[in-house]
Amino acid sequence: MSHIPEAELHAYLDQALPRLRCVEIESHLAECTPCRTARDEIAALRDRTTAMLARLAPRRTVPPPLADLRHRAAHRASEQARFRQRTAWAASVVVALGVGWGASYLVHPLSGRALATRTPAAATIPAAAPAGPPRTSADTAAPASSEAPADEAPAVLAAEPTATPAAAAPAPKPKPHGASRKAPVTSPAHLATLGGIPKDGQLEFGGVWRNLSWDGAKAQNGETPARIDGLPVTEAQTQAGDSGRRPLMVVAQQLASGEVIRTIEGPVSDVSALLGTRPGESVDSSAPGAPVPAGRTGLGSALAFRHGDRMFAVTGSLPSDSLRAMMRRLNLMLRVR
Amino acid sequence: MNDEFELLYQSTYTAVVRFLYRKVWDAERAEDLAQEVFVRALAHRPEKPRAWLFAVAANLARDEARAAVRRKRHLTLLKGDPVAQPAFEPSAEDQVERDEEIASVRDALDTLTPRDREILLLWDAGLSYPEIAAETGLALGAVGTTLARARKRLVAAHERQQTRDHVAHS
Repeated sequence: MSHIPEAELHAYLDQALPRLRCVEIESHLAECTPCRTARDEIAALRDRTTAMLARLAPRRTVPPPLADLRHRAAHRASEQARFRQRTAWAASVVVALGVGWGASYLVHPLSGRALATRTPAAATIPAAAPAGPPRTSADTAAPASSEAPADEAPAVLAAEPTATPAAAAPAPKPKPHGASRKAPVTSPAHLATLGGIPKDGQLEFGGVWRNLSWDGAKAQNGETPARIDGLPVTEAQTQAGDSGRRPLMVVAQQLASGEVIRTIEGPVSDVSALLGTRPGESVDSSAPGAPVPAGRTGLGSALAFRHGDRMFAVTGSLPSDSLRAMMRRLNLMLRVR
Repeated sequence: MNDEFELLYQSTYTAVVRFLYRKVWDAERAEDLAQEVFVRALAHRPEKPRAWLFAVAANLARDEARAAVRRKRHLTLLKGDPVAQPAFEPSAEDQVERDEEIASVRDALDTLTPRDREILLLWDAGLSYPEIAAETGLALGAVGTTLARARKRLVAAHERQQTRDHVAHS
């Protein structure tokens, strides 16, 4: 048998070896003088280090009563429980506030946003659209009466696609129509001049929107949602209104050119709030799932008119003439509806 | 359970204090930390209490050392720290000699690598090889090797220290 390794002799003297190995080592030591010498040297080394370390000891220590430590442990546990309780309470308050805010936003999705984002220009919409006072020929067009010719019906409006909002204001000069003079003051349809239409014709579709199938959109709206007849519908989105109110509905349709136009139908306040968004903000980031055609780089426009307590608008990156034509088609569709 | 903990407390308290003292070199602080270790043990009720006690003690000592560095507080062994109490009041000459011997051992201990020093102190605190291996992450078979090296280096460093002191005094 070879000599016992030094580390194993340390472990042997430290009683860290299995019993069987100890027996083997002891039988070897009985026959091997060098290993016995090594064992004795290691034992002396071991004793010496133990004695040296013993000098590095504080004065004789007496453990304090364990009851004292138990008391400290119990006190600490109760403090931690109190802290956890306070933390949980604070967290529950925060969660409750968050849930409450979220729920109120779902119930009144537009009220807060409209107040927050309506621009001064947008705020002029209600002033321009009240149903009583006579209007100037510039901002009043034909009522949506059944007698009015189709080409005179659409109301008009406009934020022409211009580089700056300031330049946009004087741009539209709709021709006065004879029909407008015949329009009763209580006409259900009114013209609205919209300010603050964003550059690029893109609208901020904030709030919680839901995508619908076309059938779903019809069911949701109670009737066929406003759209331009003859164009394929690519998307229908709705935003829930107050109970008892019809929802805000946006129908996207694609022209043969690839441009997408959107027809918006909803309560006057909601639609005007939607159109009165801050310039420069993009629909891309706020409209869930709203596709943006690659070729949509031109300036945008929006035309809108009021019909009773509803407002209808058509938006798209189209020349104003084209948009006006779309409005006429929309007006026709509404008459049929 | 309470009786078991009482036994553990009575049998281990002094070893924990000594273990901590050799790390923080402050007797009162070592006792404070030892009591903190047992308070935590009462809250956690560890499955392997002895190894757990020394593991927590080592962590507390590390935190203490970091805090001491931050405070730039220099703890000294010889000034103000009561050490092993003799049975009789030593003469001033004996006290100086004792203090020099203690400083010499401490210096020798400081020459070890942190790993060797940790293993040696854990062994001296009464932990078994498996407990040392579990706490330090060392392989069980390497504990004996490390202890052998640490013991030899400690004694060698101490002898060098004594030789230097002897030459300085003569």
